[in-house]
Amino acid sequence: MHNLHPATRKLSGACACFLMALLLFACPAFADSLYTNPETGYEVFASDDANLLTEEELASIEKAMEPVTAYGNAVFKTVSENSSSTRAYAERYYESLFGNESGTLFVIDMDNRYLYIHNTGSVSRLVTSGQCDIITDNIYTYASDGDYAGCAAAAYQQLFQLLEGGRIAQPMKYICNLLLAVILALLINYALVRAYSAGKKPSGSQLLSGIYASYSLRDTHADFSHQTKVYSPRSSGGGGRSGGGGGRSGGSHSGGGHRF
Amino acid sequence: MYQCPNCGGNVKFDIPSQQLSCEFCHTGIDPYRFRKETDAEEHTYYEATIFTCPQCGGELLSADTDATAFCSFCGASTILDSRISRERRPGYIIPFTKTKEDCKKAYSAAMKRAVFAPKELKNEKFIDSFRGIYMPYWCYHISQKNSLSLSGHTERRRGDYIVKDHYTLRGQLEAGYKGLSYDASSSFDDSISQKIAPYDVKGMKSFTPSFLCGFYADIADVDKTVYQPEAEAAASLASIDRICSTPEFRSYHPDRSQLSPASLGTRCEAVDGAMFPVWFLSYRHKDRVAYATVNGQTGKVVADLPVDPKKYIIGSLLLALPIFVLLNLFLILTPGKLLIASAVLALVSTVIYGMEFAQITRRENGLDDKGLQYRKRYSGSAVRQGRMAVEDTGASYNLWTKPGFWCALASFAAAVAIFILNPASDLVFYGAAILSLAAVLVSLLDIIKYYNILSTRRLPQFDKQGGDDRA
Repeated sequence: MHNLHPATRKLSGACACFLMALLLFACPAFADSLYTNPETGYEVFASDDANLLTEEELASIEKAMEPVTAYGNAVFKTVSENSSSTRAYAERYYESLFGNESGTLFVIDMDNRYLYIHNTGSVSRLVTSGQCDIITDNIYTYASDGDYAGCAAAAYQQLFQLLEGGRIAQPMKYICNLLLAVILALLINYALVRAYSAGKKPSGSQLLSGIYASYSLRDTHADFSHQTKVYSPRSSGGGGRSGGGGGRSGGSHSGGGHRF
Repeated sequence: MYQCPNCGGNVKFDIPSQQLSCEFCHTGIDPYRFRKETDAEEHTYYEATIFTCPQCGGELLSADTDATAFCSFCGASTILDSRISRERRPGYIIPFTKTKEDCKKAYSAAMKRAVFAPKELKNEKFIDSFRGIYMPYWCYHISQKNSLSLSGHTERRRGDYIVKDHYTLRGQLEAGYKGLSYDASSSFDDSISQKIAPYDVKGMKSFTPSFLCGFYADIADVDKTVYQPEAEAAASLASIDRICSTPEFRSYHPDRSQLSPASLGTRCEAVDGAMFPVWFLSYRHKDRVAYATVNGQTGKVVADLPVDPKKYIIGSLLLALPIFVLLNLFLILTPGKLLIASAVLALVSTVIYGMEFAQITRRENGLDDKGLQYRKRYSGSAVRQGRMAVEDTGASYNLWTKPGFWCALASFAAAVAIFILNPASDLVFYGAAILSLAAVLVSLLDIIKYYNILSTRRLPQFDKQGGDDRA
């Protein structure tokens, strides 16, 4: 290596960096494309990096994932080491696979012990973040009990149900919303009662309108006494508001997760 | 009883014609032309003064501060002359201009919006029991005359500097406010008299007892000095507002803090006693009473509005239905967010509970009623059968003994604790949130119960002092 020309050394270094980057970012590409929907062209991808599943279990999950390809790509991922948040990982991972193409990704993050569903494109318009939360709320107990295959299969089944315009069970939502509605109604009515019973004291001008009032201010003059100066440099401007901010480029996203 | 010069019948003040009118022959008489030295006959036996009806001789029942009475035997309206001649005979009176029918209409219109009020409050028969009462007021004449001197400034930017020019603003102030009115009866709660205002004192007339015929009337039992500082402050505030908005001064941003009643040369020139008309209705429920009052000159309605718990709960359940539908359509709460929501609601109900009890304590002790405070301080004994606030509110209004308050507080604390512990299981979150919301529900129902204490008043006879409590 020491005998190499500096230019060659630089070139080989750059190549090594490129390969490492390729390995790092293209890593998901090594995941197998297990199924391609002949009508939509959307694919099923599954990658069990955390070694949570047997071959049979993975196959059963793939079966559950296939119907989702009518609406977008279906990706399943387990991960044992993750230094970022599950959400950030999921967003990055899906983008590296399919960019902004419509699809869904379900991640089981063993490092953060967190489940996360990330949707993009038309799937995100059909399944909102709130609904992703409900799905993960419904399935997190499978993961807590170590049944990762059941957890993933249930996730895709519920996801497909929502994509088809169906409903998923959310009994706690109705119980809690009912209690919330009753409490809010009681509070609103209480506010109305208080507002109406408070009565209104007349304003100063209303009080004065009913009495004999006279007022005169004569010989008014303003005498200059002194002047003061305060140093206050003008701000450099700052160029108005910053533009909008936000969001990730390209397409809509939705997502939700749960600890387990 | 004032007798008709034509037929000897009982005459009463007729509101539409603004004259005395005979109940039988309907002869109209100018109130100022009707002179009578005494009406009710007065006998002094030992320390008691007994008034008797001039028509039938029946004994008249009256409180110490009553200026008129109605005979319980023949119904004649009688004026207790000695009360208004020996004591504080008012200088002026605003006669009733709103008839009982006007008053009932105004009250009924106001009650239409009180959807949770007990149905008795809207009952025609009940509304018919409105009584016209002349309440005593003190009318303050405040004058202000002084040379003013206050500072002001103008401000502009020059380069990187803000340049301030300081000025001394001068002028000769001369102002007068005649007719600033405050109720002079300790039995008339300030919270009502302040809201029922304003009266147009330009409609005041010189007092003559004839105006009282057919109405109840109270005499002043609060000293005229009690509300003088308030009258001076009100006059000063009005003048300060006008000084600061004077075109010659406005551009100099006058410093309001340099103006005070003293710097304006505020003086109380005179205090006149007056009687102002109020239509009065009382609604009793168990040991509480609610008052409805209507300004007898303007028709403005001020009413204590208790809530019928049944109506309130049914109304709330009906309102809960569309809220429930909206929540299901637009809101999906994760267990964590639900717990936060329930903690916030618990905190809100705890704060409402605390504020309501603070208000009840003030109301029951009459702390916001200057007239009552004056009577408590100086009379040392029962003011009248109407009012004498208790020294303390007692255990029944002690916030710390109320389970509803503790429910709300404990549910808030539990929700916060679980949120901090952050267990993985949703069941813990849901369980805590449901318990917390149930506790909030209990405390809100309690709040409504105590709102009815706040919106009503103690029965007058409970304030009677003296005698043997064990008797």
